[in-house]
This record gives sequence, structure tokens and C-alpha cells, in this order.
Amino acid sequence: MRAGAALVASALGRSGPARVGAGLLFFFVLVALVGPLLVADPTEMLARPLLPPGADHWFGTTGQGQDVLAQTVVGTRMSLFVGLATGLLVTALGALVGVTAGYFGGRVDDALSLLVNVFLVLPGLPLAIVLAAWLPPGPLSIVAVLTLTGWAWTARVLRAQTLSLRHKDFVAAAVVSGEGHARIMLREILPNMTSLWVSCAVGTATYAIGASVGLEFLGLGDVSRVTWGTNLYWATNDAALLTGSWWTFVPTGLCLALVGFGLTLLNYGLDELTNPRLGVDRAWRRALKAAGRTPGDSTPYLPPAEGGR
Amino acid sequence: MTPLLEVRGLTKRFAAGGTLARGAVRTVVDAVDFQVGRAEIVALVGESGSGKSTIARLIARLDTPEAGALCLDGEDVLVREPRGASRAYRRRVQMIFQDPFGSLNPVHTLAHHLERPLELHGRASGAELRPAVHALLAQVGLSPPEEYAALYPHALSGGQRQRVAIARALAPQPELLIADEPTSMLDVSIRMGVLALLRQLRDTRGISLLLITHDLASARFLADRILVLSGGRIVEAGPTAQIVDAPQHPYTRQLLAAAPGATRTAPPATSHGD
Repeated sequence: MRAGAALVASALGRSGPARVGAGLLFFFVLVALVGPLLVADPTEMLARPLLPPGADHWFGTTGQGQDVLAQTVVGTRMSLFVGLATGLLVTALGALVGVTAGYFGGRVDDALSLLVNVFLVLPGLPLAIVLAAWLPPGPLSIVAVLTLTGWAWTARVLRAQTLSLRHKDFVAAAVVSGEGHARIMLREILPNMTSLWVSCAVGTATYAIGASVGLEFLGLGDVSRVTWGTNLYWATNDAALLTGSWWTFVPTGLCLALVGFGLTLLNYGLDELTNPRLGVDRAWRRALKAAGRTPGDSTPYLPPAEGGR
Repeated sequence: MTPLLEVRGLTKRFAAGGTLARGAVRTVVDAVDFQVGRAEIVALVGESGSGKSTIARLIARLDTPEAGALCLDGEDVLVREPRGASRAYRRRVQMIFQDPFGSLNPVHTLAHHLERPLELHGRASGAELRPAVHALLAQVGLSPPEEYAALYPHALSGGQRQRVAIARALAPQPELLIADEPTSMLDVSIRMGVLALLRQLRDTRGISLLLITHDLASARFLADRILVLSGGRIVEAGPTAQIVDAPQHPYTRQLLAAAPGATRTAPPATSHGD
């Protein structure tokens, strides 16, 4: 965890896109934490239904006369929670299974890989829909469903990296030191693939926020709660497109897109940090441009910088 | 008096061939017998593929042999601990790996590398850890130890890394040290420093050393006895002077002829810088 935080901090220091992404995320986390204290009750009928955006209700009102701004702000809390919780759970479960399989190899690997493969070939979305319909509706059910259908990819990726790390001498040296298996996996191997599991966690969170909104939009969540998914569900229910009341779904959709955008930018930053070639490429292109050359010319030669380096 | 380590009939086979030759095995170590006495330095010399590193891994219990006995103080540990080495065995037998760039974990400080074995084997804990780590670093010639303890491996040169690896192996205060080509990945100019450190450990602490090497010159510099390994079998064994000056087996003669400096009477040029 500490290594993961250090990695994210380092990505923020070096990458502009990552800073933009982190800024967006920070804004939405702030909205999720304090926003609900500042807005009206999102479930109460406050005004005439389907009022367009105006001075009293900045984002307008829904078909039930509820404040859209309040609904968007309050919905942020649950949708972000579902995304982050799923990201963490999927990463924990994937690391547990993947690293164990890769580290022990042999029959343990065979058994765990079989399990992973079974979950990989299960069609994720249909299974998620079936499970969500069967479980009691609510955010925890959504987290459980998305974790169950999403952990296998992370396990597969982390297993592959563990396979290449477990034959390193520092692992053998830890064995010779008398270190136990669990500790070797947790302290010697996992910190060496921090970039991998952090980006898995960020990617999964992005997916989970989108998928949870999708499931709730289909009416598979708890429709009495206010989340981004149920906002969209009610917007359809009230025939938003038919009545032309675009303000009932655009704010939520825009927030969803911005959070996804922020998480993706953060992931790009992490990618650039752990794969320095990407950054070098960009710096090279910039240098070519400054010298009046276009990339792809034959044998680019840049005169040495003033004073030499 | 029983030798510290006695190996009898040690045999290791690996599966060979792909799908077409399933079931084929290659015998990498073939019924090898030898002993290492207390405070003795024994060199195991052979070319690449002769099975010397496999022997090191077998004695370090990183691999399990198909047959043979591995006796520490006369007791066969393969019988006593068939499912893997006990911590007590790890405390007595330690290993230095060939590649100092691979044997240190890049995400941990040097202090971490040394603290763990100290803790695991009850050599130090809590407030004693820091001074114990510093003492180990000073012992392998990395001073000031307070500064080195906080460094990460990438900040060190190959020779310095190998010294850290040696310090880690020393942390449990072992009786037998297996050194698998400890200098082969190092610059020529710093090899002597590492070899001299190993000899000093034997002289001052009475540690036995099994030196695995393809380099007859370093074997000649360090070892009391030399075992010559070829194709997984020991083809010649004897005191260092006898092997170097009067080799009997043709393979030994080939090795000597191929090694520059191994037959000179003066020790190889020394340089202690890292």
C-alpha cells in the first residue's frame, strides 16, 4: 500500500495528464464527502416537475419534482464508493490468487489457473445481470457482483508477472534466509510489481463505476437510493428523451464521463512513469519540433544545446 | 571427527526434451561425494554446465536431490527434514549468489536486507537491530555503515552489492557458506577484494566455505582443496597445490591450460578497491 501511494505521488510529480486526472478525482471525492451537506434533500418533491435549469434549481428538476443538482451530488457518494471498493477488492482477490498461483507453481498453479480460466470464460455482463437480479438490491450487492465477475483478469496479469519474478535470485536469497512463503509473496514479490497492481486497481475502479451505473440503470440496483445509476434509471422512467428534459440525465452522464476521464488520465501517468520510453518519445518529438524538423525525417540530428551538456 | 558437511551419492536429474521426448531425463549431478571440514575452504571447479551451481542449490536446499545423503555434522538432513529445510538448517548454512544485481531486492533498503535474517534467526531484535546491521556492514567493509544502511541497491556498485550479499549471508552467523561464483559478475579489479574478504571470514570466524567457480585462479588463491567437476561427476580432487601443479585428469589439464594466470607461482595481481 505504501509503495502504491509513493508510486501515485511520483506519477503526479512528473506527468501533467496525471495531475489533471488527480485534480478531477480530488474534486469528485470532495463533492462526495461534503457535497451532500450543502444541497437539498434529493428525494423530496421541491418544485414543479421537469423545470428546466434556472435560478432556483440550477440543474432543473426531475419528473418527480426533485432537485437534479442535489441528486447528482448525492449520487456521487455511492457511485464513487462502489468504484473504489470494487477496485480494492478485485485487486486484493486477484493478487491473492494470482501471486499464490505464480509463486508456488505446479499443482497449486494448475488448480488456481483453472479457476481463473473458468471465471475468464464466464460472460461477465450477463452473469453480473443475473447475479444482481438474484441478490438483494443495494450497493454492497453491486460491489460483490462486480468483484466476482472482474477479479480473474487481475489474477491472470499478476500471476504472469509473479512467474517471472519468482525465479529471481532475491527470492531464492529470501528462501535461504529462512523467510516464510507468505512474507516472500507480500514483501519481496508484490512491491516489485506495484505499478502493475496500482494500474489494475485504477482500471478496475473505472470499469466498476461504469458497470455499477449500467446495472442500476437497468433497474438492478436499489432504486430507492440516490446514485448516478438510479438517476439515469428514473430519467428513463420519466421518459426524459420523449419530453426533451435533457437536464435530468446530462449532469449525471457528464460527471460519470469526467470521473472515468480522470481515472484514465491517472493511469496514463502511471504508465508513463513505469514505461519511461513513452516520456522519452514525447520529449524527443518536442525537441524535433523545436528544431523545425518533423518526426520521420531521415537521421534527425539536433545541434547541441547552448553550452553543451 | 565428523566433517561439517558430507555429501554422499548426491544425484539430481532434470526432465529433458520437449513433447516428443517426454520422460527423457538428464542427470546433471551424478552420484557426487565430497566433504567440507570445519574452517576449510573447498573449491568446486568446472566449466559451464558441469553441474556446480546445481550442487550449490542442492546444499542450500533450494532444490531437492533425487538420491544421496546430505549430512551436516554426520546427520542426514534429507531424512530429518524431507519437506524442506528447517530454520535451524538455514541458520547454519547460508549462500552467496552469483549475480549481485539480481540477489538484492530493488525495492528494499540495505538495512531491510540485513534486518530480516537477524530477526528470523534470533540474532537481534528491536533496538539491537540497528547496531547489529551497522556491525555487519562494517564487517564487510562498507563504511560509514549508517549511510550505507539507508541506501537502496541501485545506488551501489557490483562489488559493494556483493559485499551486502555477503553481509546478509553472515547475519545468521552460519557455519558453512556456499559461494556460487561470487566474483564472476564483478570487474576484475574488485574481485580480489571480495575473495580476500571471504578468506578473512574463514581466518577470523572459522567459517567453512564451499566456493563454486569456473575460475581456477580464484580457486587457487582461496581454496585448501579443489574438486574438479565435469559432466556432473567429480573427476579429480586433492589439495590445491597438487591439483594446480600436478594435475592427473586430462580435463583438469584442459581447465588449467585454458585459465590464464592459474599456474603462475605468484598470487594473481591484487587490488582491493571497489
